[in-house]
Amino acid sequence: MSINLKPTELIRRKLDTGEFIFPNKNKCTGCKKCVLICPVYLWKMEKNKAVLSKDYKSKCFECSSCYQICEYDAIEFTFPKGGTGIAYKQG
Amino acid sequence: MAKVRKDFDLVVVGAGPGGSICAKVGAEKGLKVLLVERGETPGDKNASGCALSPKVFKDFSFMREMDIPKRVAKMATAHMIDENLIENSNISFSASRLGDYEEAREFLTINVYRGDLDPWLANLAIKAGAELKTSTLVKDLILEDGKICGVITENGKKIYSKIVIGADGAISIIAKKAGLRNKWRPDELVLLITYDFSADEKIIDDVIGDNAIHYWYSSAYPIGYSFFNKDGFHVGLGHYLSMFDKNPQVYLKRLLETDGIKRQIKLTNAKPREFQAHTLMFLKYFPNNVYNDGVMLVGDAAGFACPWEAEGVYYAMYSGKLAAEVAKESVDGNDFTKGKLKKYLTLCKNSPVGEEFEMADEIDILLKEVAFNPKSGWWVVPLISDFFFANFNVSEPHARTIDKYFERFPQIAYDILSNIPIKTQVAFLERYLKSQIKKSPINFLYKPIMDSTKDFRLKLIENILELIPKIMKGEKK
Repeated sequence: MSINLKPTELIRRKLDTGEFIFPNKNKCTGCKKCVLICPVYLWKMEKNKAVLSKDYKSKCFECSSCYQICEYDAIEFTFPKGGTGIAYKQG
Repeated sequence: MAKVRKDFDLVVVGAGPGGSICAKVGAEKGLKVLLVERGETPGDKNASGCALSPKVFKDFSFMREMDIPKRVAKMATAHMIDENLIENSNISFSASRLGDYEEAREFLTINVYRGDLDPWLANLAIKAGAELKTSTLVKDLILEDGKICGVITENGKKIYSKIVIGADGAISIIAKKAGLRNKWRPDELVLLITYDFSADEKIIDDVIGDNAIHYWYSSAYPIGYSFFNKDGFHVGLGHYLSMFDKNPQVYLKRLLETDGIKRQIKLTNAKPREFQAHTLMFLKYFPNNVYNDGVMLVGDAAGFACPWEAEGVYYAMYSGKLAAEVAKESVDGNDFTKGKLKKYLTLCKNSPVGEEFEMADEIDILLKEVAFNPKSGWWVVPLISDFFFANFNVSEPHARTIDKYFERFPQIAYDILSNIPIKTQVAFLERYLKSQIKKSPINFLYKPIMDSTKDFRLKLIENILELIPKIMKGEKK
């Protein structure tokens, strides 16, 4: 048996979140920890710097792991605007 | 100096269990309370195992009237899975006669969804007289004359308040703005990723019944879980941010390939319904930075989650209640200084919230080296299986397999003793000795032993414990 699971489709969300993750290229050392940890693969490496997916606002689960794991404070995480972003029903 | 404007006595940021109980108790005590939530509905932003423990119902009697979908878990099962994802053995246990009160003897947990629980709790706060404002993100604190006197929302709106409660979760803006904490370290924060599956209530009743909590322990992934609710269940796993060596999804995929989980999904005819990712802290110390001038932190925002099992709702509710009590005293005495609010820390420390952190340090190493560590699966997984095989297999005369087991016993004991961190063993043994010496014929030793420094006692026990594997290793050769 194999269940086809698509995490980013299994969530209700309201767009119009505004920006809430702010990568800082100057501080990024290219350690790739954010790439490793993101459970929906929103980070990738470009020229030795971590780059956030352009459509992150419609895919991010707001878990903040990228911000938490970065030891160089190269990722700032705020929150989506009130009433927007993910909305769990069965949390 | 102009009279400072105060819209509220108490602004509570975050309508999770901690915030809602704080608002409820505050309002019941006659305070003017505003409860602010960034989600459209309370619970929108919260995910957890949400297995409510018996003490929630013992200490908060109104919880007995909770009328939301739930499943009572009377039994839990830990499955031991080998590196090929094959189940080796499992152990189940149920609520025990050792329980000190009725609920503890009756069930292990009551499983609910936060999407049901959080609105229900927030509604209790509203009924008590608190005002709830949803879809509102608090971005900052109002600082006037160096004092915190309210919050600023994302639209720049200022809400003045005598006291601010940060109940805004593990990634707390209030904690940061109040100068209490920047962020947790990657080795004290766990990322949990979970699929929720929907399933027919009746089928879950038939297939799972009240054995509604399952842990999956394996060398193939960090510890996994399946928690059954009324009409669905969570399957997921968690690990320290600092310890993931592959993307979490790689491990979650393996967990879902485990036979036992596949069977649970198949038998309940379950369909994936929601994906969740969230972080929570496992601290090895009691967090002291939970108050400042005009501000108190409760629940996850404070770092109050059980360091053994990550239960958070109870500690959030309890600290929320204590914060409201201290807030009431502060308002009555018109004193919102750090000196006054220190009482909140003292109350927390002397409550079940503080008590849960006893041995937090020793448990932290145990979790990191054994429970969460797939690398320890090689010796943990076969343990129980070996024991039952020796007693119940029918491949040869029973006495013979038992002899074989006893021959292997020193090796088993050696594996256990040499792999469980010495600090954890010492802590358990110290507690054991404390309770035993007290009632033994040598109880005259209790006082001198207790009067000796903790370091001395630990060193003594450590020396004895370190000898055991050495002796056993000698015996093995």
